Amino acid sequence: MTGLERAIRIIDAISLWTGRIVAWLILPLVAAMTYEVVIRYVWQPTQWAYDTSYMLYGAMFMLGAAYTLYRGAHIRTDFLYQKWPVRTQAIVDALCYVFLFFPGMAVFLWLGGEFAWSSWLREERTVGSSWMPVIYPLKAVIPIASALLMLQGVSELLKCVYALRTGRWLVIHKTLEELMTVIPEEKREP
Amino acid sequence: QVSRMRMQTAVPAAADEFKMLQKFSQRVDAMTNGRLKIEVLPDGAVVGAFEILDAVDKGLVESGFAWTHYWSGKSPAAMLFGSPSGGSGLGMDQLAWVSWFLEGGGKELYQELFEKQLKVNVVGFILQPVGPEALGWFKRPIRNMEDFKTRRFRTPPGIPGAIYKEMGVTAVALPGAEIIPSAERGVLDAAEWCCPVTDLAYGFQRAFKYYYLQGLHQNTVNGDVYINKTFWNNLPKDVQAIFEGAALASLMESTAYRIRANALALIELKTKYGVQVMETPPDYFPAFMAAARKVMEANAAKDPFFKKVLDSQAKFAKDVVPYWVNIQKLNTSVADAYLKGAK
Amino acid sequence: MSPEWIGVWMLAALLSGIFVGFPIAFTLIILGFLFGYAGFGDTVFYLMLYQFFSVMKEQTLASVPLFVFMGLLLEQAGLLERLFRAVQLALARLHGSLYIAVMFCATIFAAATGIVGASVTLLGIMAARSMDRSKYDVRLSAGIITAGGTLGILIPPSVMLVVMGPVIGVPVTDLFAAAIIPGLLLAAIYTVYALVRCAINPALGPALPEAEHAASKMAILKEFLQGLVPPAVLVLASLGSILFGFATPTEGAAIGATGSLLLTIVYRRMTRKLLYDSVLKTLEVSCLILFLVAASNFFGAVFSRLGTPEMMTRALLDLQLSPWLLLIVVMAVIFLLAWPLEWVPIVLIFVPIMLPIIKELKIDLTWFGILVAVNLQTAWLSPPVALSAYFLKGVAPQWQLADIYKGMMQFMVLQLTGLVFVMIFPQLALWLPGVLYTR
Ligand code: NA
Ligand code: NA
Repeated sequence: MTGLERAIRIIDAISLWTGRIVAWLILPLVAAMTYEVVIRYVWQPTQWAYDTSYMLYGAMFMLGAAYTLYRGAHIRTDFLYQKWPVRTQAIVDALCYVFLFFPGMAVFLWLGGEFAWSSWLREERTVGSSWMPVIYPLKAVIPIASALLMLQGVSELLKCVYALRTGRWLVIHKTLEELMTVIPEEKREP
Repeated sequence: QVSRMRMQTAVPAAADEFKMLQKFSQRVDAMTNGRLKIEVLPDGAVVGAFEILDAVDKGLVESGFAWTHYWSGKSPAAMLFGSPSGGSGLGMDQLAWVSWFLEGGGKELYQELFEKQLKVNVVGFILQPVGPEALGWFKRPIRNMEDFKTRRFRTPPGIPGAIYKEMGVTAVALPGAEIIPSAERGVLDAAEWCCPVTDLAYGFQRAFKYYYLQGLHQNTVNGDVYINKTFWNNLPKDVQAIFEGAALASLMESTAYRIRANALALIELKTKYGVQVMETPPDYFPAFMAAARKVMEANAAKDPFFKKVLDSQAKFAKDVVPYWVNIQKLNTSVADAYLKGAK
Repeated sequence: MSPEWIGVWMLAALLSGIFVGFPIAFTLIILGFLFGYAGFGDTVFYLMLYQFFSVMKEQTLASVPLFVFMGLLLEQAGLLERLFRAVQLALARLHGSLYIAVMFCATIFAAATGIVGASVTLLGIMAARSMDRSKYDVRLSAGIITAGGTLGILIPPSVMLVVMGPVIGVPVTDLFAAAIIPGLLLAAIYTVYALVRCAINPALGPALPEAEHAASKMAILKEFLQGLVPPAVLVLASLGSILFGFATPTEGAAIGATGSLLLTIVYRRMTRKLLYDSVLKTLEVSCLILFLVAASNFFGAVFSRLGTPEMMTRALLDLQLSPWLLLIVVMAVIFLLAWPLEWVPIVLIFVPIMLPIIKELKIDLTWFGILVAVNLQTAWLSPPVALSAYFLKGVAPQWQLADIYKGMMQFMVLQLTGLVFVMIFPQLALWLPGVLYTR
């Protein structure tokens, strides 16, 4: 295995594991909302279920974005893209990553960090309910998610380099077919 | 030199607040001879309601409109300006609060809130008093606080909600858009939003039949405009003065508008939709004020600036509320005499 | 160049840039940055921050992962395919019986959810593979799933109507009542269309081969009951809790998810692997939907901040047309805007600008609201910015995006037919609220 391949495998493994962890947030989300409905009729509504629900959902889809990028599941309008030779695909992707994706995500990381930091300093609370929980953990999700996205972006860029060198994709851009089949990533695990 | 100012509001284009802001914008335009053009934008046009202050601070829009208690998550004292429940637990009504703001040192504390507490590059202007807002809508009448506690009640978020929690009311948190559908389907037994003219537009009369006007959680509510300070400082001095004057005029105009509009809306609610207007149970008031004082003191103990504002209001209330309640009795007596004579 | 014209170029850049094949969510973000920066400087970066954070706090959208999870669990456990199988058996001699099954379920889901993403995904997960196996026409299948799924935002509860009510100053409950009949009308039009196409060309929805017909009526009944029990339990748990007033739509979605967890356990299909698979796939599907929602919200916000929508609408008002002609022009403009945009910016920005004219013309606002709502249904089915196509592609990856586009465009034409019906017969919208709310 070349160094290039090893770097790709390592980053992919990190994204895979973030996905595997973040994915379980769905269970507390289900539990919190179901508990809220039941307890409202048995006893009285909770103060926390409402805020908890959007915090879990918001953290889930942002923190899962890098995993989704690793899985190649962010939708593309690919009916032209598909027809290009691998090297053309790789060049176009690489240009998009270097000149557009990384600068954009870097700004998002920087501003998101500032956003969360100032919220943490003043222990900012949310006024969505009378519970008024602190909001900085949810704000901190933004810089963490963009850092994870940039990291996975590095792997995607390296995959473009690999494709340029060898004329084939190291990992075929997943057609999402795998989405419907059982644990495909198990086989590709580094 | 013409300055253009986008104003991101927290309300939809059909709201009264929006229409009054458009009127305000036309007046400023006329008074400045077209040198300050204000473009009023509906909720969500550039950013959502809870991002308005940050957006003005960063210069994403030049100005914004919301209610100051929206920022009580950043600094709890914001609530003492935006919606001081039960007149901050001190018995101030809407007009008495405005008196504190203009004459009792409120304005200086208000600027301190933005500069030193929220630390935003913003100047603020209170210009649309809304209070008193109603206690809310109920599916079945309540006779006393014990009844009230058994109802699933949509409360306003933040500190007013915390006061109800303190009173033992079953507080449900819901976003505004979900209230009516939830009420119709029975998730809620009761809900509050604003006041007759706004509640009528939202359609509360479809889901509820009993309307209680006298409530304390938002007996005083103030809408305000935020202007990016850099933008503000670049305005010519006379334009600044005109804007300040127009904001003062708007205080009076909003008050005048709401008295009549709410009265007319209430007539429509009663005659067209058969809504029953109820008297709030007397034990509500002491229970609320006791809980409000408790919550206010708890916040004052935690936050020095909250204490500073509350102390200023307390000093004002001590002098003014006894006089003002006396005069309010006059208002009640003369109106009662008129209404009895009219029968 | 004025900011307004920069917005026009941004739109043009989107319509071409989207075909480069880079993930659409990132394309939207990047174009928003570039053109926003050109139009109003570095504050565009904050705009992205606030738009994403708003979507992260949007509690109603929490129903997306919940409905996805519910659908995936049931699909993985194989508990839903039987309903389709049963409907198909029961209607074995009829061509295109699965189209009926899809629309039947679509209408039920529409009454259970207020958003589109969850409906389309759930239907796609449930129906796509059954339709493939039965050799159904891909385009017609994709069309009926996307069109049926988008009914979720028209038939109440509807997030779109909840947002629109305050904008046009009509009680949301009026809009809800007014939307029911037009929503059912669209469902009927879709079904009739699919069945007529099948009657003309049976290959589009083959009937079951004679050999596979059920042995007896009893066998059909048995299959039907067994197929119906899991979804019936779920509709009771999820839809029932919403309609009978125990829960908000988001809570109802969670109850549905709990219900499907319990069903999977009761039917002895629950394994660690199944749970793990469902959870991971839920993450993937929810992320691709919700990240795209956030990105398109940001793109729309840049577009409005540039002032382009206003410029376009004012140009229209300057034409000075007669009421009917103007209403038709307004509808045509909304239809065209729905091509590149989603309903949110249209409802929030364009509708308020047109409202004074509509009021001037004494057009009934409830009726107008429903016309806008039916019209905006097309936004979901107009490529290339047609979220329901991506939702479907996410769960039916074996279908070509081009085929999905071609299928949904047919149904977009049907939506326009529905719009014309409601325009000619206002009573379709106004009768029900009149009956419910006159005293
Ligand atoms: Na619906
Ligand atoms: Na579209």
